[in-house]
Amino acid sequence: MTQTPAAATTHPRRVDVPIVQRRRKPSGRGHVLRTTIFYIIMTLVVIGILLPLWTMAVASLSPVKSLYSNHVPLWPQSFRLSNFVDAWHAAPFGRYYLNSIFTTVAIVVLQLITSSLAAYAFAFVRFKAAKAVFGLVVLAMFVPTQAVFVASYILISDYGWIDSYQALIIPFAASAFGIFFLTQSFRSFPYEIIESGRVDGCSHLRALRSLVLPNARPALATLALINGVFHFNYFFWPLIITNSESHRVLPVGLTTMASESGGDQLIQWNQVMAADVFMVAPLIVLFALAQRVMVRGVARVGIR
Amino acid sequence: MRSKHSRARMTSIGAAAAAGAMLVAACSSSHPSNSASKGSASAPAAGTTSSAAAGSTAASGKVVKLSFWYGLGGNLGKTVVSFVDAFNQSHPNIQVNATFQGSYSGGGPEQQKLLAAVAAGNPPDLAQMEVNSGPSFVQSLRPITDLMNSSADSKPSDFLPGVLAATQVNGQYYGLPWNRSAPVIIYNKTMFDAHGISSPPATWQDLAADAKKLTTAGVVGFEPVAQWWFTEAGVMSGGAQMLSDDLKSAKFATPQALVVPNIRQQMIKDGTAKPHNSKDPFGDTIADFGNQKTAMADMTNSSLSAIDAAVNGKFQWGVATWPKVSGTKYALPPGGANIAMFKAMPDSKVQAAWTFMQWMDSTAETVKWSEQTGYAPVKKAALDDADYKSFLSAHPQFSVPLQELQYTVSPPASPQYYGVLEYVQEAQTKAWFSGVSIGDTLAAAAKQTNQLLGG
Repeated sequence: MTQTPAAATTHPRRVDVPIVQRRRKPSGRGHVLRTTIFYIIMTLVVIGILLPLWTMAVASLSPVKSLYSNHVPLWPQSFRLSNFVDAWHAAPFGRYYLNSIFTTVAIVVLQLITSSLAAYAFAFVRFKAAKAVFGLVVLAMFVPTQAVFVASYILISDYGWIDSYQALIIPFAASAFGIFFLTQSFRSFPYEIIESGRVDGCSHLRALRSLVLPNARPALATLALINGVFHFNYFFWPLIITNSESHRVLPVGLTTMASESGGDQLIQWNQVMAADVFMVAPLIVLFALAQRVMVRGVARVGIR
Repeated sequence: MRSKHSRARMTSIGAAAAAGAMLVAACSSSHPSNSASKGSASAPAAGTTSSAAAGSTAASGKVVKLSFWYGLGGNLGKTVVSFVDAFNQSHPNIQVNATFQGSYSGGGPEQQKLLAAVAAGNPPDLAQMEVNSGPSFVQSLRPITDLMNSSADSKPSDFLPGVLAATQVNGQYYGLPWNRSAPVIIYNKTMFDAHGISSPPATWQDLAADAKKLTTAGVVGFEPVAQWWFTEAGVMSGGAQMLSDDLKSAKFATPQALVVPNIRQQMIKDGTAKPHNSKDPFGDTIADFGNQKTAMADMTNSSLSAIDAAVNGKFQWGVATWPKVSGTKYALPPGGANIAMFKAMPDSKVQAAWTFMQWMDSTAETVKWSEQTGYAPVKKAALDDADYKSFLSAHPQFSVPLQELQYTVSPPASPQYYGVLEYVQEAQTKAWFSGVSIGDTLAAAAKQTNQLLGG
């Protein structure tokens, strides 16, 4: 409720208005209404996002019978932590966890390396047919897995890699989206700096490492998160390419929890949800930690 | 039943099957005769769980290793593993390595994986295969007619009438029936008594009349399950066929074929029937039935134990044969899956694989399997089995589907049938949930089908 001298001098007629109020006032009632509507919409969006997570958490603590009653409970009728123990033992989740984390980290590291190399070339190196090649990379983003998985499978099979970590990692070592995303981000970096570095005898690799990458950290983090989450969740290829429990990953493990439907017994949704918690928890933590840098990354790419 | 496909999956098999089927054909024609040598030559490079080294000799006392892909998750998956473990323990010379490959449904992950593996030349030795999948995979399967005919207890005549439907392509057997189901109706006896209805409906006309009586505030008379299987069942129950005998044109939009689908849609329009438009239509229907929101429902016999759990003694319930149309005979499609053998395996493994298949279908095991899962047993001898007799008297609802099996009709043996079913599923969804006449949507689906089949 204090007045600043600056406010007093620039708006002499409003000296008596405290700053906080003054900010709201200019557009009057319409502004209040707009703000209210904004908050209502945002609250609904938040509920829409949190409700499934909340239901998952409630279900993971409930006895299975209560999940087949008329209403989905909004509060657990009991706290059955044993669901988590049962779910953990229903499949080798420890192994799945290690496999998921290892393959996701490996994929992300490789993608960051390959994508930044390619993006540097597209952004700063002039070569023949650069636009056409970039177009091809963008095109690759639109090819669905289903269209090419048989060919990929045959290739991996010819290498003798079926049911191996290579098969889970190498096909994703390069990412069309990653190249596209980093190229857009790198282009916001002033070319003049690279040029002057080059004049001073700095190699392309050095320019990438010492000039471009340190300034692209938000974009790199964003790419790591987006693609990391995608591969952590990816079900189809890991299922297709692995046979043994020792190479299977969390999403594949989850599907072994529930038969498609029907079946001899009711699906143990409480255990399925407990297993979902295993799967989702690391992602939520990761997002909470990385949210700020991620938003900055997207904003940077947007503003060119 | 577990032969259901999500629409997304169906779409993907549409694309994958088209590409995959060509690959399957191309691949198997490139090495049709050298399957025995191929197994030992390329299996190590292929790196599947089937080891070629073990395939060399079954007779010399070495352990034959077999890979077996199955597509049942959850508790059913655990049951599968317990059966395989029991087999391995009782057969020291054979080691079956069973791996879960995602749902075996049409277009599901297991089938997509099989398409890729066949194309790459390294399919498993054995796989659980959905009842409609035979024609799509026939090029890569080993016919087992010779093995069946010389078998002690797995001759065609040893099986219950009806369960060998969907095991033959072009007169050859390509799989043994394993987990088999049939469409049934479940009904709330307590509600039937309250409305003075003495017996479950035998025809769709009766069912529609009963549903009208049973529909009250908060209770709908009948809950159809939004899955193509029941439109297929409706077409067959009306005395019609899905495809023409030459497999070149659709027959599911003829006036006769439309009788049951029309009755079912009319009930939805009248408000005496209400389907769920959900990803888990069976699960939602079971929950509604248990919560007494519906008096009758479409069901599969493989879910009877789940229904018992959902009802939880709150009311009396029963199972009835999926109705027919007055004046026709019962005719119903099979559900579930077979076990099939891939011909890429070396000849030295065939006997071991066949031993496993026979064992899974042996009277003792099929009885155990049926009791533990709710699927129908497959052998005639199961009916005389003392163990199974006492099980049936304790669980009378299991005897209805057992009698119903004899009405099972083989679905059309067309490799394009999954594509056809996808059209049927779309037609049913459109009709039920946006009010278009199912006659119109099925007619449109028939047109698409004719184009697909090139008839």
